[in-house]
Amino acid sequence: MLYDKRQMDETALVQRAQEGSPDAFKLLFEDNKRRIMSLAYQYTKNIEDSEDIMQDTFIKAYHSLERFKIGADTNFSVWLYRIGINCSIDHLRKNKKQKDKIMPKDDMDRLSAPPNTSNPDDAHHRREVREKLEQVLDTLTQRQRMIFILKHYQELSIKEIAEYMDCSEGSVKKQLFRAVSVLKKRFKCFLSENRYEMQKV
Amino acid sequence: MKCKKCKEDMVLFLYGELADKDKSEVMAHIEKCPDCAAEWAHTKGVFALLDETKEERAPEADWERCWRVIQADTLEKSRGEKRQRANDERPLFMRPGWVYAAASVVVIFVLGVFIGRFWTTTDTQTAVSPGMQAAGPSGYIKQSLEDHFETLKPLLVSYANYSAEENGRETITLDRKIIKSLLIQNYLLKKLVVDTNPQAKEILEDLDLVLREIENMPSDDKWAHSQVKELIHERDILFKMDILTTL
Repeated sequence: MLYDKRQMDETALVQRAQEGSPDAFKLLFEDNKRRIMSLAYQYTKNIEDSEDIMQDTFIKAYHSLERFKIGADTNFSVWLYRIGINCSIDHLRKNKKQKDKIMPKDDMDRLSAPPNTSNPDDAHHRREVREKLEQVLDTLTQRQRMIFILKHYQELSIKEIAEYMDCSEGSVKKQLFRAVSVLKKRFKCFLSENRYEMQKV
Repeated sequence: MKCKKCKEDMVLFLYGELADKDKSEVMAHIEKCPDCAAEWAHTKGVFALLDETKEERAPEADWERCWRVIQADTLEKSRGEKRQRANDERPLFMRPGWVYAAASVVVIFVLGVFIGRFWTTTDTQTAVSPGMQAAGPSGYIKQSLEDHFETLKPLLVSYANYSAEENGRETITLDRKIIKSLLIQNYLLKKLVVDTNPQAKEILEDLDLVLREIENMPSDDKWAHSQVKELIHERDILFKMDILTTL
């Protein structure tokens, strides 16, 4: 039986999925897939890794679905996102060695050419920034990296990050500050070179 | 405000995590501290640079393929877990090991009676108790039928009371070997009563149908469970079994 998405809110869908309905679980997948994919992609910058993380997230969620307690203070999306965060950290930790290899060309091209970019200089500059950023992010701990991604790219509040990462707001602030400090330090030369180039032009 | 605190707060400032009062404090410190003012300019420059990469959106994944992978994994595992769970939660007497053992005992008993009755010598026949002897072959058969029904009853009751709504995702799962053994036992008894006891023959034929349904059904098919339930009710099998054993 196919369920009409509009007629069922998330709680009802979760309830149905817990009762074993694959259709309800599919609708939960449809509702949340982009959010998990976006997180995984910002974290890994690799489409294949992101797809793996997204699949792992939903598979883990399915097998833990019975343990998810429906209530006023619980939210499936938050719960799923937390699984996504853990899957991303685990995935990158496991594939650290593989990550050290050069990023595939198609991924790099996609990163350096966002939509509406017609200027090749812009694309080149963007690519340089991205490469530099990747190098710096690789020097951070997985936790610092995740907190930075959640704050800077996913634009979550410190409070939300603390909730997702299961730690205090003070700890999030400390880790975020460390991550930004490393970035600032590593980008110092890059910024001065850039200014010099701009001045030359 | 100290420089260290100011440098930490300027990051929170740029992320919009600072209250207005704290923002004013940071700005006031920056105005009078050239070191922090330089740090402020650099931090803003790094943020501007990082913001250039913000526009990058996650590319579209192959959603269909991803879903197929998820579906294959979840369905595969949930089938195995269901089977295990059904096994764990089933009452002790319904677990395959017990049913199998009980069925084996009955088969051995029936075969023993059968062989003993037709292939033993006169000497051994004298060893049978007078009561049993008085009952004759029909007594042995009656006893075997009762044992057979006793073995099957818990299984039939489980199916007769099965409700997809109440039982939720649970289904009754049995080892096919056990069902096969029960079918053989049923067949042997049917052969024994075919000419002498038409009522027993009729029930055994019904039981044969039910057991075959169970044997062929997929373990997680709730619809097939309901079919077996209907069959049991339709043919009044449990009632007929009770009547026959009390007669």
